[in-house]
Amino acid sequence: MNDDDDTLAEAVRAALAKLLELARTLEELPLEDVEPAGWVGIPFPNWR
Amino acid sequence: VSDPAELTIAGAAHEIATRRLSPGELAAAVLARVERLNPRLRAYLHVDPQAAASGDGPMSGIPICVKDVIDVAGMPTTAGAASWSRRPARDAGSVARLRAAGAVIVGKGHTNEFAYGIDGENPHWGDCSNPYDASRICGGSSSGPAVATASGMALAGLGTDTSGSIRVPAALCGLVGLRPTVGRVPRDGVVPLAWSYDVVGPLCRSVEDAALLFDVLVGGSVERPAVVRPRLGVVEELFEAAEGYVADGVLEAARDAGQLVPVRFERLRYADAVHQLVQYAEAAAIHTPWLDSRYAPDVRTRLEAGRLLPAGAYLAAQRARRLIIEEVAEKMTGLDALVAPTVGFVAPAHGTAEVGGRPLRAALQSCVVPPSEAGGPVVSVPLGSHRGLPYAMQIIGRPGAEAVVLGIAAAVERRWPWRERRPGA
Repeated sequence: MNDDDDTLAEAVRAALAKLLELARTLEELPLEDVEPAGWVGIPFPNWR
Repeated sequence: VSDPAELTIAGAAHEIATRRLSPGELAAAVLARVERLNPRLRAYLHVDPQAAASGDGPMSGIPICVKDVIDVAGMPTTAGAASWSRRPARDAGSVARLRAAGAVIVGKGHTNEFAYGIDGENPHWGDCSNPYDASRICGGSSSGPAVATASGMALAGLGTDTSGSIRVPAALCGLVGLRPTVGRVPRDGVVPLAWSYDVVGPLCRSVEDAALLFDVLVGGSVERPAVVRPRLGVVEELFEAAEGYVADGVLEAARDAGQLVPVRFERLRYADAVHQLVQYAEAAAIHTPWLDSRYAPDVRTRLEAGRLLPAGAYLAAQRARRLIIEEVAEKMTGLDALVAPTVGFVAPAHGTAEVGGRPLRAALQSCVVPPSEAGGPVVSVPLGSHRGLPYAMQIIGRPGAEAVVLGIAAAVERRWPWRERRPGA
């Protein structure tokens, strides 16, 4: 690892920690029984 | 307007149809602007000096700048990257429709690296600058199409918007920018950033031009219902960080255009978390095959962090997004559209790190990210200027309601039309 690698690794750790903190805030929401939103416009076949 | 490069699409089409202007004269006027201004403003990464129309239709002879994440056959697609590029054999679907309608593709417009930025700056290709004041940012990531359109280096631009990348540069450069409903305009042949939010849309000098270009992009003529005294929901949360002149300007314009109804959204405070989680994860998945190429440190950091994000966090964000969509749908009952500032301040100087105590990126995105969650159309329309720099409002509609938001925008636009707004007017 050189200095650039160390700097990048540290920045990635900090960014990931922030993302996981954001994910924790979503635990306040009533997500049970909620289907994920999808990609509107993607032509999935109609299986039902 | 004496210089054809300053005409709107509608104005130029009229001049061409009445034979007072030829497509060749229009292209020459635009290319002369490119030669004069591009070294300073950097709107184009690639220019076709032989640019000419290949089709015939409503865009006959109209010079367009295409953001360099969208494929144009015969021109390189670099996505503003340092060492990644491709040479497409085919036009992107959106570009093919423009060409079939007679548009002239002048070249490929500047963008933040892989469209993963909001300020219009790029460490590999140089920073794009604001035509109202070149010491200031123009916003991004559709920086090139915005600057080209505002400065006469094209009559309109084709951009992409994931987290505000059409609306922010449109607002900072005094243009009308339309983020269409997700899935309404073809996005094949576009370097993706985040599938859940990516759209292709126009940056124009007038609402009429945006409607004309939108019709071409969707491959037909969209009905234009009359919107009389619309009921407009004022999204109060999105006014909180705006400068007073922006907040007052939006309210005044909305009050002139319709009836105001204050609205608050309980779940809007989760919009930024949802957006970041979804975008980081999807961008990382898209970039996995390219990670050997060179990236600026901030972009690489986001991509590497996104690769490490647990699938559960991504799915929680997509479930939370559905709750946001449901709340927006419910609260829009009885309303024609929602209104909010696009950016809460005018273009800051190059090198600005923070605005209002927040990092520049977060400050520029704070009003444009929440409407991206709902998936419907959003138009940004210029309202006025502060210290010679433009500011704007967003009109946010139900999915598929482009005609409604454009109808309301047309009423708002009368406050500050292109002939009074263009740089140097």
